[in-house]
Amino acid sequence: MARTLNKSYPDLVKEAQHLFWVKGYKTVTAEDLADHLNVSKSVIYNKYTKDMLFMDALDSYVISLSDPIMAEIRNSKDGLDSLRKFFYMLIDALLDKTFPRSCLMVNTVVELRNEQNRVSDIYDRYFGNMRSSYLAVLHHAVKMKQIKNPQLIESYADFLVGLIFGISILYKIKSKSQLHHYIDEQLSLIE
Amino acid sequence: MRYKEFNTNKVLEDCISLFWQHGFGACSINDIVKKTNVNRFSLYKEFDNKEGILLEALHLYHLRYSASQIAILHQDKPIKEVLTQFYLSYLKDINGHPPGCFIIHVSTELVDHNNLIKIKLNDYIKQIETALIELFQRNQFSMAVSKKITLRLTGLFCNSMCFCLIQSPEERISYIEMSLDLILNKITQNGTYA
Repeated sequence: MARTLNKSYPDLVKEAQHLFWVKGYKTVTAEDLADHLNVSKSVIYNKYTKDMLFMDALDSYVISLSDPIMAEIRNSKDGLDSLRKFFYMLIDALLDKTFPRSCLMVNTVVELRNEQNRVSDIYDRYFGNMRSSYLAVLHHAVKMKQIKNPQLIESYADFLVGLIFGISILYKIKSKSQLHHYIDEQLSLIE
Repeated sequence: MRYKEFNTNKVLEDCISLFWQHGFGACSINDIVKKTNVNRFSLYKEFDNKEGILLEALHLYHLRYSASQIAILHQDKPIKEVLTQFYLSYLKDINGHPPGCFIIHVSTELVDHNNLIKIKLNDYIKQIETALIELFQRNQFSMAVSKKITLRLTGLFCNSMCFCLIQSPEERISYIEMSLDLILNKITQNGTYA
């Protein structure tokens, strides 16, 4: 008897996301997906394709993980400390493997670069929202007189967006205290 | 006696391109056979397994490409000029390679589950750190200041090796320039560093 699909599509996306996060996009085959999701291969070939699951896994990363964190940062009243708190939290998630391998979006940038237009659209949304959230914090920090050169905050926002990439490499070889120190040093550049 | 019928470095160059383009995990031994025109038996005899090929490919990449990029840091030119040249050297089109750094590319994929690659990444980053510290020491900065700047510049290296992959050539230059200004402008006239 053919297996019937007893999982909802969002559940499948969630499970597929974990597989893509650990293995990347190109390494994962339709067979891997079928095994991992416990569905028949024909489901992957005919109904929910690898590309579709991948795009929706990235979307769900942005919508359910990154957007809420960015909203919290944007609304925070702690100025630069809210950034410190965010980066420390990211470091914890990387080191304790809450994030199974780096940041999914950074992994995708390194693996696929701009090879696929649809993925580039997701980068734009992800990094665009990150940048505007950082900028909101910087405006608040200016009001709190934490920033010596307020005329530079547009550059600071670009600089801060870059940090998530470096952390996604450095956590692989540096200790927690080294990483915290690194973040403190980087944030002190904009104070 | 049977002579080896292939050029090891040529095979490894092919594998660098293959792994960089498709990812190590996505390449099968068959893909490698197809790309290199060397049969499976000879590949296994020379390298033991797929991971053996990867480690040798990383080694060759380091010797042929990274070494000359890191050597840029040994030049006697103004610091900002040397650093700009160093970062941008990774984003030029070299030998048909994609932009960025092969060692960082492989590390992103594998370090979390592969200790040999982790050691490789660690040695590589240490080598860059050492070259950066030497650059500042040559320019009469104290050890403490050299180390402090190096921490930030190593971070910029890791940032740019990923972030710049999705930027236009103009965005890459302005990102690197802006970051260097931010990091280097903290140097005061009497050589201290905030």
